[in-house]
Amino acid sequence: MDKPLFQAAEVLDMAIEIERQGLAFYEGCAAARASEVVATVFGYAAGQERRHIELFYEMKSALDEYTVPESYPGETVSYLRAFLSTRLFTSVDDASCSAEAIEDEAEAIEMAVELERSSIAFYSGVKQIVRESEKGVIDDVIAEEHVHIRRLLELKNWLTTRSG
Amino acid sequence: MREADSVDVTEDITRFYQPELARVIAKQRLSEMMVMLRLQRASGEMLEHQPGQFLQISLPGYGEAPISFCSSPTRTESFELCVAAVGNLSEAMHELRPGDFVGIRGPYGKGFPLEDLRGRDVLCIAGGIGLAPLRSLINYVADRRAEFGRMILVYGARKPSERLFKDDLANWDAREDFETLYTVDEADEGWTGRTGVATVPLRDEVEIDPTRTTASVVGPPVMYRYVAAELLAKGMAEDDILFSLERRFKCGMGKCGHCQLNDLYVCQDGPVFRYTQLIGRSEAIEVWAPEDERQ
Repeated sequence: MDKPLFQAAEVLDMAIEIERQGLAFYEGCAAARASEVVATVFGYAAGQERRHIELFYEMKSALDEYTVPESYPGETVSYLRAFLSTRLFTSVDDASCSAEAIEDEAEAIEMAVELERSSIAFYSGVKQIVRESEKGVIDDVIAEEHVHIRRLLELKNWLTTRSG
Repeated sequence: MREADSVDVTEDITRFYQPELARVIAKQRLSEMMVMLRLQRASGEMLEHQPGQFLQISLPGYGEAPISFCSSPTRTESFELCVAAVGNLSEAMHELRPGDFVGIRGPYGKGFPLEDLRGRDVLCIAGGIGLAPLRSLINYVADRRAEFGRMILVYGARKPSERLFKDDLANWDAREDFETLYTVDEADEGWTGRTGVATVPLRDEVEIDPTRTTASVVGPPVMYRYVAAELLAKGMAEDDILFSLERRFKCGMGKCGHCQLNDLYVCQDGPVFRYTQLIGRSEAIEVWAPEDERQ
C-alpha cells in the first residue's frame, strides 16, 4: 500500500481536534441563541460533531501501534499545530469564545458554514491519504458536513424571509 | 540493468571499498551535539563533490558512517563534514584533532541537480541538522550568485542553542540578495526572532512564483510531510520539490541493499530525490535510522 503523506493517527488527531472545535462552537451558539429554531439546528449539528469524534476515536483505536519518529519530543505536535493554525479557530477554547462573542444569528450561521466548508476541504484531503478501507467512513463524514451546510443555509433563508 | 550491476566481475572490486586517507585540518564545535570537521585528502587532490552528496568516513576500530558534505565544492582547498554525536564512531570523531587522519570513501550519490537549478529561484527549507547538507548548496549559490534567481532560506531549529552555522546564518541574513527566515520551536530568554516550526514562516511569509522555483528540503522525516503540503498549497509542482533522504548507507554503491527503498537504492539513486520519485514508494518519507543501528 502506498504510504500516505501523513500517518493515519496524526490525521485522526487533527480530525478529532477539528470536530471538538466544531462541537464547542455549536454548543456555544446553541446556548446563546434566543430562537428555538436556531438552537435546534445548532444542537443537531453539535450532536453530529460529537458522533464524528467518537467515530474518529474508534478509527484511531483500530490502528496498529505506530510511533512517529521525532528528532525531539513534541516535534510532530508542533507541526500539527502549525498545520491546523490556518483554520477558523485555533483551539476548542477559541471556538467557544467566538460563539459567545457572536452578536446575531445570521453571523453565527455564516461562521458555521465557513467552518463546515473548511472541514469538508480538510476531509477531502484526508480521503486521499487514509487506507482504502477507511475512505468510505470519510465519505460519510463529508456527506454529513454537506448536510450541515444545507440545513444551515436553509435556516439562514428562513431567518431572512421571516425578518423580511 | 542497473549501473552498479554493470561492474566487470573479473575486476578486483575490493578497491571500491578501500578507504583513502584524509587529514583533519580544523575542527569547530557548532552546538552541544555537533562538530564540523574540515578535511583535506592526504593526496592533496580535490575531491570534486556536489552539494547533497555524501562521503563514507571511517576510523579504525570504530567503523564507517555516511556523512553529507556541508561545504560547497566551489571552495576547493578542503571539504567540511558536520558530525552529530549519536554513537561510538561519531563520538570518537568528536575527539579528533587537527593533524589526525581518517579514512574516506566517496563522494557518493546524486546530489542537488545544479544544472536544473541554474536560472531558477532556489528555495531551501532546513529543519534541525538538515541545514548541514543544504549549507553546501547555499554557499554554492552564494559563490555563483549570478547564475541563480532568488535565494530563499527557511531554517527551523528546536532551540536557539541548537542552531548550526551561526556565522553563516548571520552572513546570509546580512546579504541583500538572500532572503532568510529563521525560527526556533522553543525560544529562550535571549531569542527575539520567530517561534514555531519551519512550516509557519514558509506558509505565512514566503511568496514564490511556483513556476520558476525549485524547493530543496532537508530535515527530520516528520517535517517532510508538512513541508510538502505547504509547497503544494503554494502551487508548486511535485517535480520541483527535492527531498534529501537519510538512510543508513553501507556500501554507498548500490550493492548491499541496506538503504533500499522499493526499487531504488537511496545511496546511488539519491539521496536527493524529486518528490515525484517518492510518491507511491512506501516508507519514502518515513526514513529514520533505528537507535540500535546508529554508530
